[in-house]
Amino acid sequence: MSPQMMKFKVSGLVADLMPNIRLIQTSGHFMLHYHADNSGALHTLRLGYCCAHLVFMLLQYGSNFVNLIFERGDVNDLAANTITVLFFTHCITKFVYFAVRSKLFYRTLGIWNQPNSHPLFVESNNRYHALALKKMRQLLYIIVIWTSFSAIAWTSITFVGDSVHNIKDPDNENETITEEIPRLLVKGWYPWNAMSGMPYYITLIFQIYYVFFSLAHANLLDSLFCSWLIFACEQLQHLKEIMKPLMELSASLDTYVPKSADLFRAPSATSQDNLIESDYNAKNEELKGVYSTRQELGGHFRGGALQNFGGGGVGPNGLTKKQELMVRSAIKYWVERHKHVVRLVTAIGDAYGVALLLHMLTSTIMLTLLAYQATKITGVDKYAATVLGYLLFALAQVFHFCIFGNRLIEESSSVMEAAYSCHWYDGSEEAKTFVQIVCQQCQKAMSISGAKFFTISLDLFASVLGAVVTYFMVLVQLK
Amino acid sequence: MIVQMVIDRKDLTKLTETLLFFMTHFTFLCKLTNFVNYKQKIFEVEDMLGKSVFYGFPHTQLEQLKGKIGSCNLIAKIFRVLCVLVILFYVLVPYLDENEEMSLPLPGWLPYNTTKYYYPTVVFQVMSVAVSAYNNSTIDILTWVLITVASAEFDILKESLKNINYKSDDQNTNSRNIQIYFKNCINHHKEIMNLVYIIEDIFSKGIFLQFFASVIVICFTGFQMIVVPIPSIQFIFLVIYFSCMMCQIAMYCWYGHDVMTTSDEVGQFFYMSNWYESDPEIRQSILVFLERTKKPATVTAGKFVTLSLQTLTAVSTQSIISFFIKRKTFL
Repeated sequence: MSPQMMKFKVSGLVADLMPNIRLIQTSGHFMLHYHADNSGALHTLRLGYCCAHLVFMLLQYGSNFVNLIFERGDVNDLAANTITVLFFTHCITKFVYFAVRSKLFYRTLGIWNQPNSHPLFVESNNRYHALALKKMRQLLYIIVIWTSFSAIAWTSITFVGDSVHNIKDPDNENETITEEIPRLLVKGWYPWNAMSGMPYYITLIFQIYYVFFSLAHANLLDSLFCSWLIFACEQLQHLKEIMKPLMELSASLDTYVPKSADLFRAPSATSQDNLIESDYNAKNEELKGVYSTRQELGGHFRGGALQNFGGGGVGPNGLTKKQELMVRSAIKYWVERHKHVVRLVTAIGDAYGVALLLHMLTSTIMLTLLAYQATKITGVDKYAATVLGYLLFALAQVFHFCIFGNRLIEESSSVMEAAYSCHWYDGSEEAKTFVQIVCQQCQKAMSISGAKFFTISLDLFASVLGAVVTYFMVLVQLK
Repeated sequence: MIVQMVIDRKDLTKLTETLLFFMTHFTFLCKLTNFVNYKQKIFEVEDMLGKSVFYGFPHTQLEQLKGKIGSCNLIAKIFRVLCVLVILFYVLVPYLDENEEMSLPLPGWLPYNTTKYYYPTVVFQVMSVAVSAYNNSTIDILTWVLITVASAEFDILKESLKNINYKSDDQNTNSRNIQIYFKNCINHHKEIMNLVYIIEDIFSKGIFLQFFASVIVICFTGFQMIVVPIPSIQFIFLVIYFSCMMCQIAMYCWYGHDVMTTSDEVGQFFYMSNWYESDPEIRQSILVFLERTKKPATVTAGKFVTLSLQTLTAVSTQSIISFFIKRKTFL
């Protein structure tokens, strides 16, 4: 029976991010997995859909570029066209990048398919999972609304003001006259005359599609990256929260009695075993995180019935055998979960790092040119609005991933404080050395780097913003 | 060339041209002197690399080492090709240059009339340039390969650390085995750190001079590129020369960064093992080991600059900014 005929069930990150994934697939990215029916005909159809999008995007991009070359005489036009070309370079880069490196994205999406679980900490896990889900949805709404708003604003500003450009007067070399050009969203070169009539409307509709889908391509991929970071941060919050009960669990019976009712909750009714999509992550042998309660504790574990410690003798820490076993299993859960988060963050960095590097390179050049353009603003008119629009959009894109990268750095380095703030001094020797090694590891914060060149954090955003303001001030002085 | 510079000190264009080539050759001479001085230490490194602590691993892990050195060799070959191109252009420039007749590849003042003995002089200059470029690139490639060996050894160490199974079955021999494995890893780590330290000791001064000279050369090449007209053969030559210099710095920074990141990850790979199942006795050793792994192995240029990608970014952005400023002031 071929795998495609199996009942399609999603789990882990894929299930959480399904709306994101569906939107990404609709917008034409090359994400061909995660469909219920993946038979040959439908697969080819979807592939064709993506390739059609790619062809249209490249055609319009090429047309922009050709226009750039034709209008390179005038410095103002050259600057403006370069900014437009660079702006759409982001979108094309992200489109092509995803198509080329989609394996890494699938691997990252599949990492959380088999998380371990522990009956003590199920409630906390579910709570933070729900929190992460809520935040990811909110982010998606904001991104979708922002993209639509930008596309609509761009379309509406096209119909304001004159649609002209300056060219040299053919009669007199030193003068420039204004010539009318088609009223379109983006200046492009077309082999047909797009001034009026049917060709004009077709070109207009094509450009509206192009602008909307380009913005969607870039923003949706960025929001996927940020959603991953949100998930990782909420998992770290979960780990921080369960550190305290874990320490209390290992405290000696005579110094501190844990509040059993809080610690022991009945295991959740739904099974923790998720169906694994066999063909998507066959190579994930590193996942040793599968944790089976029965196997670990032998037959001793009965949910909720561990409140009587009358059974075995008292161990070296003043703990009974059963309690020591419980502590060991809880520590194992904590460490394995933390290792899983580290694997997730490494996979995110591998998948998206190069894209971030390319984004920052293009953004730097574009923002420098925008600073130059901003010095030529004379009043509140269409020119000012477009320059400010570009500037705000570019800075917002950079801010978008910088803020979540920063949050990851903060969360991962605060694990050490959480470990310190619990009653570690009451714990057993084993628990204390566990805290020590965890503190050693968590001193170095987990961060996403742009292919090792720089770290994604609010420092990066501040330096970009500072650079733009500096260039602007310097250029205004030189004028 | 020094005499030429004194003669030309009034004309900025010619001065920069002479300074350009002078810096390269001067740096090479310094690096060579440095290398010859530390001859003894290089033999020490060779002996050290033959120790069993570096080679007592299964075949699959040693394959990793070979793979990494292979990729380094490939990059070294590309660099050599670039150097050969530069030398080729050295020879072609006087022939294809329409401005001056009978001009020599290298600017300099010679005590005899160059037009009479033109061909022997040209041959002599080309030979000397070829030999010096070959030696220069050899010293560079040797440094890069040694750093790559250290970084590959770190990778092998990380894999062994990840795979230690700390769960002892309450038997004396088993826990003693775990302790022996762990001690081996600690020993290995110590030896690699030592290796990197000695490599840095040998090559550090040379790298610093290289950096210093490369930065100056890049500045002056940038300046020359503005002055020389664009479609000429001289411009192409300057572009290739510039890329050669950039490539040299970039490679140093890349390999330095590589060894720094691989040594930084040792602690993280240890964390990925099942350390929480270990006995309390071994945890003391683990803690001391983790403290040491917090400090990565860095290669510095004369203790001034750490070789890393951040340095490279800083150098590139500074050179681009200075290029634009020079363009503004001279045009």
